[in-house]
Formats: sequence, structure tokens, C-alpha cells
Amino acid sequence: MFKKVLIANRGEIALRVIRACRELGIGTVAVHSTADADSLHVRFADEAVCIGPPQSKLSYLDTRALLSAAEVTGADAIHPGYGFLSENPAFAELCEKLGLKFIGPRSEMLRLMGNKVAAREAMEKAGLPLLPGARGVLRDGEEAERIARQIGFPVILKAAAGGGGRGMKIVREASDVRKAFDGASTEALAAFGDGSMYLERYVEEPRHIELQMVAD
Amino acid sequence: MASKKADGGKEQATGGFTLGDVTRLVDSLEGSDVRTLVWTRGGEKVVIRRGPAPVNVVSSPAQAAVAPAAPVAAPVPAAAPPSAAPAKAPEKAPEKPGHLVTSPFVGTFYRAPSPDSPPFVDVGSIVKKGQVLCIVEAMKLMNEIEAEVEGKIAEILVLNATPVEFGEKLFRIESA
Repeated sequence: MFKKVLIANRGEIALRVIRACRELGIGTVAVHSTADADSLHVRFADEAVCIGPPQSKLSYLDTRALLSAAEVTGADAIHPGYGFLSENPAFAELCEKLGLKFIGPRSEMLRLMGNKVAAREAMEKAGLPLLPGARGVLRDGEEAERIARQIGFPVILKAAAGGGGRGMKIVREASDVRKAFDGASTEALAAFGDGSMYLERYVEEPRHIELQMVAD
Repeated sequence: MASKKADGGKEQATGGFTLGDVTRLVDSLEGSDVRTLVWTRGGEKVVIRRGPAPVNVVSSPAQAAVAPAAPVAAPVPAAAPPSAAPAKAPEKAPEKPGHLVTSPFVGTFYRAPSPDSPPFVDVGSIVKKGQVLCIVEAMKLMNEIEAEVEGKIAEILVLNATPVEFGEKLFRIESA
């Protein structure tokens, strides 16, 4: 079992992880920006390290600062919480390379499932039923329109690197596809640094059923 | 860096501070430069603050004040994973004159380029803008920290080879 975990997050998820560590008798290191110095998760942990100024990019998203904090405190594992770097395959891989346990999926899993197009391909290979949609990344608005006509409307254009409902556009008419493609792609590029798009049939009023499985 | 409650969360069953304890703490501050002392033991905490110190404090009281205060202010018991940074007990409240150089990274503070070399600067050194004052090592990268102003090193606020966090005060430079 780990001796000391650094929690690379803040707020309620950091508190929950710290609390779980305490129950297990594991030492905890909180990290914080200068703005969060008085935050509850900082006070709750055994140790705290200020890792940067208020901007997330320079603190909670700063890989070097986090890994340096783990090094100076002697942490043997990092719990990334959710959001921030929790689904970042490069960060997970760096932890692995440095002998720090990244408490989460393996970097190759994050890489595979983080890109929706790759994830769809993997599911298709595994023989699972998918919504009718484009295979691979769409080349441009013209291809999007052609495939959309084949599948039938309504369709939804989605960012391959996306999440959180951004970089998505529902299209009901063939004439709207190209404009929607351009708009969604631009939004995706700004939000995720990747404007790649795919599309699939849009399901109106779906029932969302989710199964969560945890294995070690 | 803050290191608190190193007992892993277990509550202390034995009793708290007695009047004798508090009196002895107050007496121990007598004649020292320490003005704030915080001692946490189990679920209890004693905070002692003394009146304003004289404005012109002799240079490097920080080093002298940290040493006696640290063992007193450390949380009891010390069954913890040892933290290399001393507990930050004494606060110097009235702003001392000069420019504070703070660490731009999380890392380990070194006063010299290598273990065998003399330190980059000492208390009393005159420094120019851009002069290297120390190294903060992060992930095996040696980052040289430069003076942003010219002046005289009035205080060195961190011990050699201790971890520092972002924004940790390293040097106080006064105009020469």
C-alpha cells in the first residue's frame, strides 16, 4: 500500500481522496495555488505545497510543478481526482516513467478512450453495437454532409477530443451540415486544441444507462 | 512548506495544556526575537503573540529564531514521515525593508552550485541585478535564481538543501 499520496486537485474531490487516505492510514500531500492557500483541502492534508499562482495552467495543470512537489515530499503516488490532469495520457505516462504510481487508468487506456474516434473503433473491433456514424475522422464539411445524408437525419457532429458537451452540433437538415461542421471544429480547436470531428446518428430523448466497473 | 498534524489523524488521548505548560512557553519566548508561537497538540492549540518588535532588527535573526522555535512548535508526537522543511512557526509581522526574492518553482533550495563550491552569496554580499543568488532544483533540473534588484543581502530565509514551494521567501535584499 502507498505510504504517501499527493492529491493533484482541490475542492471537494481533494477532500474526499484525503479522507479516504486517512482511513487507510496513508500520508497525504495537498497542492494549492497561492489563491487557494487557505482552502479546506490544504488544511485537511498532512502536508501542503504551494505549486503556483492562481491560474490553473500555472498550478494545477503544471506537470512539472506537480511532479516536483511529489519529489520533494517523497510521495509515492499521485491521485489526480477528476478534471485537471486526470485524463491526460502524457501526465499519466510521465508518472509511470518516474516511478510514481498514477492512481487511475494506464496511460495507453487514457490515450485510447480519450479520443472518441479511437474509442469507437476499439468498440467496433470488440464487436459492440454502435450508432450509425462516420468511421474515422471527417475530412471536411463536404464529407460530413455526404455521410450525414447516408445515415439520415438528425445527426450530431462531435469533437474527437471533446467532452463536456462542447464542440458538438446537432444537425437536422442537410443544408446546415457544412456550417455546423466549421463551427464545431473551430470550437473544438479552441477548447481542446484539436479540431478533429466525427458524426453519428442523433438519438432524441435517449435513456442513459451507465454501468461502472472497478477492477484492480 | 506547511507540515501539520503529522500523526496521520489519530487523536491524542492524553490531556491538553496546563497553566504550567503555557507559562513555560511564554517564559521561553522571553529575551528571544520570536514573536509568534503556535503549538498544536492533539486537538488543542496554543497561540502566543507578543508585542511589536523593534523596527530595525539585526540581520539574520530569522536563522536564530527558527532554530529554538522549531522543536517547541513541532506537532507532537513526531511519529510522522519526516518532512525536510521545518514547521513555519514564527511570523515576522512588521514588514522589514527591502526586496523579497521568492521561489518561482517547487523544488530544493541550494546555496551553492555544487556541494564542494562556496555559496553564491552570503549575508552582506552586494549583488547586481541579474546576479545568480541560488539554485532551486526541480526534477533534476538546476534552475538558477537571479536577483531582480541590486543591493545587499540582508537575510537568507531558507536553509541549504531544504524543499521550497512556489512563492517561498528566499532572500531579503536591501538597497546598499
